[in-house]
Amino acid sequence: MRSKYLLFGFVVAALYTAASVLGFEMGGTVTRGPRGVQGLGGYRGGK
Amino acid sequence: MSYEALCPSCGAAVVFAFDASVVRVCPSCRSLLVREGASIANAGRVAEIVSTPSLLKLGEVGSWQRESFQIIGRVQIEHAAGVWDEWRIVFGDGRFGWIAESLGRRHLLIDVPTRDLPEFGKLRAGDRIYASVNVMVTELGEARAHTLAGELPQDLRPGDTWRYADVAGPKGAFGTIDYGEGETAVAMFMGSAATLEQLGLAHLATNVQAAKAAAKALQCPQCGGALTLRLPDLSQRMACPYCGTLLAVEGELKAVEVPDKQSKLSFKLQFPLGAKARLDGATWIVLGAMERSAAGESGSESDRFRWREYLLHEPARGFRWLVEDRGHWCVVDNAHAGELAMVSTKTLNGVTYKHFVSSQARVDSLVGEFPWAVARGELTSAIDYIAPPMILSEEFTGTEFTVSVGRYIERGDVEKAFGMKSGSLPRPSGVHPAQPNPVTGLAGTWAVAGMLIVGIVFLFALLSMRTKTVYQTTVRVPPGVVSGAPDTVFISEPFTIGGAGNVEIEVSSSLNNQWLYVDGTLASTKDELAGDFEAEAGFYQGVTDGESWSEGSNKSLAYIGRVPAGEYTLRLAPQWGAIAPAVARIDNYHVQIRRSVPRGSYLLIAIVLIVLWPIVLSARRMSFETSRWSESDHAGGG
Repeated sequence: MRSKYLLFGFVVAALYTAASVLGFEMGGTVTRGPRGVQGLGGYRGGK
Repeated sequence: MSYEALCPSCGAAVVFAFDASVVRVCPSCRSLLVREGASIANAGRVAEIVSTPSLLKLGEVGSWQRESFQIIGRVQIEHAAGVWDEWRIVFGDGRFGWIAESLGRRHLLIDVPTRDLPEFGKLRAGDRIYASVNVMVTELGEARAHTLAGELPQDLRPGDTWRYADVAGPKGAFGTIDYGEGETAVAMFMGSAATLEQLGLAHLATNVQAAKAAAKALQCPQCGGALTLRLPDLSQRMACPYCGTLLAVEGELKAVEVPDKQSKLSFKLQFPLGAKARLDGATWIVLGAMERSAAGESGSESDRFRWREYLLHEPARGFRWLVEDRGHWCVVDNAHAGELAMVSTKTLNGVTYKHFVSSQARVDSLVGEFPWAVARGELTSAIDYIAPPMILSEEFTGTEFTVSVGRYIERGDVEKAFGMKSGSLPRPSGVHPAQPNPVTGLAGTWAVAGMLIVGIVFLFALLSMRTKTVYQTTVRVPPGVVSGAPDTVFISEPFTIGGAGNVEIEVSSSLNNQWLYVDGTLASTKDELAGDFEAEAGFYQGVTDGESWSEGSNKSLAYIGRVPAGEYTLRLAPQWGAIAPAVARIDNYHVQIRRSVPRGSYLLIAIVLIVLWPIVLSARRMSFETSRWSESDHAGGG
């Protein structure tokens, strides 16, 4: 039981590490679409 | 100095080997000779010695704690449970002692002073008294000298009676207090259990098979059924398996209790009488079985808790019980009462037990043979304490206090011991008081150790992420523009994002009862890859009922996952607003983009996942314990 628990802990930690390093986000990622810089128009400003 | 005379009865030469000897039995005619100064009086003939399984012999020389002794006399004593032997011994320095034998066990006792001992009538079995050491009274009774052999240093004659209190002390100490026929102690003997080896009499053990009486084939005097008496020397009672008659074993069988009708056993025998079991390295034989019960909550007869006890015997180890309760099994041995430490919990041999239940146990049904005068309806006050897989039971009758220790064993181990097929015995139901909790581990140190190791992995993960700010700017909002209008849209200069991972976009502004919402896109300058995000910040404060308050934040975070390395630009379309009396206008806002940012919320999810397991297991463990204790006097956590 203890070794199973430790294994489970390592799996969770490894998943977390992989997700963090790869930059996994539940909110979404970059996709292809007509929003590239070519599609962007309008005001250019900033400092 | 020895003294030699002629027996006044038969004329045979009789030797009093010790000066202190007062009585001697003539070995030729069994007359009891009493020394009165220089003369010898004949006190009449004494009965023949009753056959017992004793291995000791008059004249044998042994040693105890490096001091040699000689066995000089033998007294056979009758008490409620039958006849037992006590052997008088004398050491080389003239001190006297006894070797008492009962149910195959021996105790060596030495005369000690009788100082400040309580009166007999004030004693109760289970009392703790001080008798040079703290001891527990284990038995109160009356004994009667049946017959004698050899010589004795006191004037003891057949028919003499005396009251006694047996006591047990720590470290195996055992003793007996002789109250004569009165209330005051007249003699006391203390010692401990002793094996033949410890007594320097190991050579007598070679006769163990010869001394062991063979099993006897008998007939029930009530129904004529064929019975096998397996321990004729030790058994006191036998319950006929055919008619249920309870028989006294006194050479022959005599009915002491005849049931009103053909009495069937109230329970199914899981093992036949005479069955053999291989347990703890020895082969045990089933001598008898009984069902006992204790009152349930309602107190009604149908609500009684019932359990079955199988009496096992092994010549070298004596007796033990195999106890079955709802399909659960415990193997139970007698324990030395003097080892009990009496505190709020009980400690025996280093194990601390918790009180479980106090009850009055009753013998309801029985079959086979027993080494004491058992009777149907016999009542015993019993207190059980547990330290799974162990169970400690104290039992009190009016005159006797016994302690036994049981160990839970799995059904499969019992089947194996009896050579039965797996699954032959009934499946256990419920939770037994001594049943080990099947949910083990992860409690305490292991869970902490697991968390620590996993924490180190997390730390490694965090350190392996190289968080870097890749872009930041302050966007000025032109005066007079309307929230959400096309001319508020900001598009950044291209910037480079290196490495791999997520990006974090932080939008912040100096807000006061205002909100700022930004609809953004991070777009590659090389292809059509783009990630959308939204960020909304709002900060509000005020005074209500004289108390100042604030809520919200001046900044907002948004994330885009798995953004490939490359050149990007940022498009931001802001909207803003305010609650009165603040002005719905902002002058500027700040944007910062960071690469490869650890996510605290994901870490929290991971930690919850890791902690969940111990929590679930703890809940299961607690549920098992609740079931266990629901049968106790402490149900409901009392």
